[in-house]
Amino acid sequence: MTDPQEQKELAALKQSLGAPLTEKERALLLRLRGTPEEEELGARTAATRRLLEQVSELRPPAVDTRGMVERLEQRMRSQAVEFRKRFVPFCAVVFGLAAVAGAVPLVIPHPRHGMPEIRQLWLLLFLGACAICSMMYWHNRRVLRSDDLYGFLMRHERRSRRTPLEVVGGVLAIAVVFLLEWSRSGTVRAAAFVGGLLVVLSLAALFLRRSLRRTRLSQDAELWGWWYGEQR
Amino acid sequence: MRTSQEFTEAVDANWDAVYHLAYRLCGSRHDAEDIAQQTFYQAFRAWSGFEGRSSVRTWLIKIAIHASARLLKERDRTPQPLASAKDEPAPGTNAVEDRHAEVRLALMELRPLHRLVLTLFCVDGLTHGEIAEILECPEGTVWSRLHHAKKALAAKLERKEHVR
Repeated sequence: MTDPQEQKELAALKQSLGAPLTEKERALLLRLRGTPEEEELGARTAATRRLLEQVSELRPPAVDTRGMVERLEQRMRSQAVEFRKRFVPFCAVVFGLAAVAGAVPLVIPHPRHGMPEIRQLWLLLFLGACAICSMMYWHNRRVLRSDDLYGFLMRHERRSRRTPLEVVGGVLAIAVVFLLEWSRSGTVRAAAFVGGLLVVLSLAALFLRRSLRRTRLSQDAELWGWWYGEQR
Repeated sequence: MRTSQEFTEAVDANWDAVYHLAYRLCGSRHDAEDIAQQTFYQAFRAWSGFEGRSSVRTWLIKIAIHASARLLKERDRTPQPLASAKDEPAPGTNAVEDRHAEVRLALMELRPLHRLVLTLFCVDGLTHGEIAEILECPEGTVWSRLHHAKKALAAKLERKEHVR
C-alpha cells in the first residue's frame, strides 16, 4: 500500500481491533500522538468499527438446519444409487439382447462336440451380468436403508478403490491357468481370450481412475481469479 | 484415517457457518442451501484424504467459497436478476432494523471480493490469519482488502443516505 492516509487509517484500525502492529505502523501512530489528526483519525476509526459491528450483527433468516442436513443425506443416497440406476438398465439391455441371441443355440449342445466356445462365452457373459445386477441391487438397498450413511459410503469408497486391483489380480491368475491350458491342448481361442482380457483390464483401470479422481478436491485456480477479477 | 463419526460432527458443527457464508455471498436461501450441500458432498468425498493441515472449518469455508464462485460464474452466464437480499426479512419499524436492512443491501451490492472479505471477517468471525490461509495471501493483504471493502461499503451507505 502506498497511500499514506490509508496507512494511517489501517494502522489505527488494527490498533483499535487489538491486532499486532508492525514497527512502521507503531512509529506512524506515535508520530500522530497528541495532534489534531489523531483525533480525526480516532473518530474515523470509531465509525469504521461501528460499521464492521453492524455487518457482524447481520443475521440471516432462521433456517431449518436439520432439514437441510437430511436433504444432503437424501442427495448423497440418491447420487450413490443414481449411477447404478443408469448402469443396471444398460447392463440389462446389452446382456439381455446378448442372452436372447445366444439362448437358442446355447441350450442345444452338439451331440458329438458338446458346447462350442462361443456359446460358453455367451453363458459366462450372461451369468456375469446377472451377478453384477444382483450386486447392484443389494448395494442400492443398503444405500437407501443404511442408518450410518456416511460410514457405509466411506467403506464403499475404500472398497471401490481396492476392488479393481483385486479383479486385475484375479483375472491375471486365471489368465495364467488358461494360457497353460491353451499351450497344452489349444482349446481356447487366443484372439477371443486376449480380447476378453484387455476388456477386463481396461474396465478395471477405468474404475480405478474414476474412484481415485472422486477423492481429490478440484484445485481450480481460475475460481480465485474470478473473485479478484470480478468488477461489479 | 478420518472416520464417518468425525464427518458427522463436522457437519453438525459447521453447517450453519457454511450456509451463512454462502447466503451472504449469493443472496438467496435456495442457492445457499445448494452451495452448502455441494460443499459437504465434496468434503465427504475428500474426507479420508484430508490431512488436517488447516482446521476443518477453514477447509470447509474454502470449499464453500469455490462452490459459490462456480455458482456466481454460472449466474453471470445465464442472465438472472442481480443477487439481492430477497429472502431477508422486511425492514422493521425501528431504526436499528432499518439500518441493518440498509447495511445488508449495501453489502449485497459490493463486488464479490469485498463482500467475501467482509463476510469472512465480520459474519464468520474468522481471524486475519485464518482469512489469509483461506484466501492464500499474506495477512497484510487481508488487512488491506478489508480496508478497501469497508471503504466501499461506507461509500455505498453514504450514497443511499444521500438518495434518501
